[in-house]
Amino acid sequence: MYLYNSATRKKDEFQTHTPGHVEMYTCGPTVYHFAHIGNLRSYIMEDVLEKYLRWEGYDVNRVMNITDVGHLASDADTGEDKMLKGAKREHKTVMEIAKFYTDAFFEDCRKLNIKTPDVVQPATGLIDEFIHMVETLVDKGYAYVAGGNVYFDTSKLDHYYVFNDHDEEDLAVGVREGVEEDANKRNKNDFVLWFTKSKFEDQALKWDSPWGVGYPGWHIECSGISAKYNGEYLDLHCGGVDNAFPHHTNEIAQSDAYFGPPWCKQWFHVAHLHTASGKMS
Amino acid sequence: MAYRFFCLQSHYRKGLVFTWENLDNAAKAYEKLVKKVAALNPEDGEVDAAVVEEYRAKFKAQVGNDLNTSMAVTCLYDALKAKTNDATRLAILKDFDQVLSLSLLEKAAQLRKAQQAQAQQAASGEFTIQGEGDPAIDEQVMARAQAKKAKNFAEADRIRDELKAQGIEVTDMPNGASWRRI
Repeated sequence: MYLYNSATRKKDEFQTHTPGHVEMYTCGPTVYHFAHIGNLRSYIMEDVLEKYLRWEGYDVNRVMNITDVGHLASDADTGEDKMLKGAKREHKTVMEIAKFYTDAFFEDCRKLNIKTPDVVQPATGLIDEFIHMVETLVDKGYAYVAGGNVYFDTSKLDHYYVFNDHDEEDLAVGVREGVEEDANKRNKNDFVLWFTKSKFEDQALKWDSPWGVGYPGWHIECSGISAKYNGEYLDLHCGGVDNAFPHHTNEIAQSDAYFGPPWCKQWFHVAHLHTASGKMS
Repeated sequence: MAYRFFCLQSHYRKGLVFTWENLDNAAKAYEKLVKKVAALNPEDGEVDAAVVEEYRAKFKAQVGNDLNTSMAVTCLYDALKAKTNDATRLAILKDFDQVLSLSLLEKAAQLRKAQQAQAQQAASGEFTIQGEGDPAIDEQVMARAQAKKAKNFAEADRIRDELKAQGIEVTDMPNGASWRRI
């Protein structure tokens, strides 16, 4: 089949590393609230894509994460952890919130005939793998420790903006949101792999790591989960177009640095759902 | 399911505008589609494999071209009009629905079942009474219903008043009536 590839910005003939077999990864929900119908549009279209590939005769291994830690209010590593925010809102623990909204998500999927992926992995269940990945990135020289956090050094990459339709202006998003700049970053598009210094003392979920007690960054979970269940070659990565930058861009940075490129060649992004008044979020 | 149908009607790379009116239109279109599928008779002929293959190729040309789901939905409507028998049309729809997952055959089967049950009930003139398990009262309620059916409204009202005097309230329902003590 032919699919538009966000990485090449054209329709490419779909190819897989192993003939007849597709390793597919989808960014799952951040379970701090109900999924809105804009999110569900992406899951419907990804479901059709997966079922079409099976219909064509491919054997598909589809992996999806559940983000239950580390996704901050702003995609640019700042603001409060969304899970914590959800827990505070409802006077529950983070794990109670995660369970409730994970169940709600799959109930929505059932009603919409969306098949459950072959592997569904909550981020909190794979912390050791993320730590191992971050350690490897530090050893390889792609990451550095500053001010207690571990950062990915984007200046080590030849080509960071894979989807190329973003420039420095987009990075000013954080500025528009009135978020202070992180002085520990060597380059302003560097991002956090592991947090130990958080402004939020009451971060509910913390784990021990070589860099101190803390929690993983949002992007490392998808690279880590995909590495474990999809392996070294990912054939197809899916998600909403709002995740192309910075989330997917950072995933590519991490996974290419970890495995050596090319990790994933084909990127499938679903456009936004709008209301009459604008984008749904 | 209406929302899934709504999403399939547009291309995934285009922004999609959600309004309740748009969703309502999709729901109506979906309902109509199910009705059309329900009208197909599975006993009508043998499945013609060559025709199924022909439509499969058409579907593949659309969905295999950057997941053009709106054209895939058009393929569904084309299959309904295919110059072949109903059994073949159903086989094509079943094949497409493995990808589109609109539960078309399941919903159509449910609809057919409901339609048959309704037809049967109407044909037998069946009249059901739900009450609190008193055969004597059931009998009176039935007598009232028969009087009403015979357009003997005076008699029907007289029985209703008699029941009322015993503290019984009667509520008319489609193909029946229910009663309760108040």
